Amino acid sequence: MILNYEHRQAGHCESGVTSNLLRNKGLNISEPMILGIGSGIFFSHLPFFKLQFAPVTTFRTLPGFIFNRSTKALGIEIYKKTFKNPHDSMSALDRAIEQGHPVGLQVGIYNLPFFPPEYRMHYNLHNLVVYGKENGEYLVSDTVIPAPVKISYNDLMKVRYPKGIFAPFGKMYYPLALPVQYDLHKAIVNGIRKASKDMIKIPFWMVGVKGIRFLAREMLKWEKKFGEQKANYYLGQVLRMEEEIGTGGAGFRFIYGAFLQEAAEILQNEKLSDISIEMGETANRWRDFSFLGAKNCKKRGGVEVAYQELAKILFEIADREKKIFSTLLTMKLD
Amino acid sequence: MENENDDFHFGAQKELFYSFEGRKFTTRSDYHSDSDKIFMRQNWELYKERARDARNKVLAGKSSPILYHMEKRGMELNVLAASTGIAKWKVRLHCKPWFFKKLNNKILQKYASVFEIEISGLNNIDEN
Repeated sequence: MILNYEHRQAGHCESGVTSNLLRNKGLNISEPMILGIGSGIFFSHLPFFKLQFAPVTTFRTLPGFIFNRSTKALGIEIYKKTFKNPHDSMSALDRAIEQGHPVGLQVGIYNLPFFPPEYRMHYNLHNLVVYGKENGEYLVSDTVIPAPVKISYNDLMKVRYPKGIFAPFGKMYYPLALPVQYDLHKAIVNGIRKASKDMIKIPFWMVGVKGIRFLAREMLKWEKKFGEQKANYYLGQVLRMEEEIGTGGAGFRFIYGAFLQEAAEILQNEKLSDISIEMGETANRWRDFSFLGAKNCKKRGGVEVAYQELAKILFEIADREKKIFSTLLTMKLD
Repeated sequence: MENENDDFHFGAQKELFYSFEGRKFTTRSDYHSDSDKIFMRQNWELYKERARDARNKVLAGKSSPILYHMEKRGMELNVLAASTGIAKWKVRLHCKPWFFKKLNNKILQKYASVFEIEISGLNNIDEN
């Protein structure tokens, strides 16, 4: 059985999947809009939490938050479940498809057969949509891949049950029914306020705008503390998190800027559109940062660009984001 | 590409990117930029180097093949421990060659099924 489902590529897997699932139900909503309403933008640098032998730097909220928050804000009923038994989870998936729901799944990347080997890390936070079953094979729409692909029962079961950090336990989710009417204005305003609060108001030095400054300060110590090679690897990890883990570029800052631009049109707010431009300029600074930083990540290359210079860009970005989000927090939106 | 037997093909597929140009946000379907490839390659090289180091350790008799198979698949200790259901400190112990020799088939089978090889293949540490 194959459901009528339109595959669209997206910058970020979770908001892309959410947007595609809602579009399938008849709610025309873009990917940036989902990220904005779900307050997906964030920052934190956690040196005590290692992934792939380097500290974790995230540019987003925890997995699952974007789907949960955005559907809740729009008043959409959802189905969401994890399973202990892999076979149960597969039959639940079959039933959902029989009932006509394309299903979003949280999966681990490592065993995905259609991914190029360079992507295959033990990273469990990817999302994709299954929208049909044919001859024992599942039809998968992955927002990273240009076209839909097929995957066998066993492969799908394997990717739904990887182990390790953030193991998904076969997590599946889909929207059930759309509300009769929803308040997009209110959802946008609340989404912006929530994201700004997260970025500025959390009293912890590793998260939000404070986290960007913290990363910059840590970066200055790396070379002395760990030596050239490890410092460069740590920098590479920050850049991979910023550009590669499905962020649409510049650690979600481009997508968020696109959201602000769209929101400015919907709310008819001139000032918001100015802020979206500032966001775009900040995002371009993030791009500059990753472009400069990449020079240090070459094989057998030393420190080509001084860490002081990179940290200076980060401090500048922190100041810009502080200004943007404190304006967003206090300005009149509706 | 620098040399012929380079197996790094990252960015062969087009992906969707957002960008900001001339005061407008746009999307484009494009390949990854060269600067992105540099830091992805860094990670790729690290994993290969770790697998090579592990292989040398096994050949030198300092470590058991479990370590090599783990590193070859880019696994970290916690991932292997969680996938096999064996405690981390035990996995560390199983990486010692003298302890590895004493392991019974039941435990070896757990490792073999996670690595997706036969038990006899555990001792095979050929590259590729």
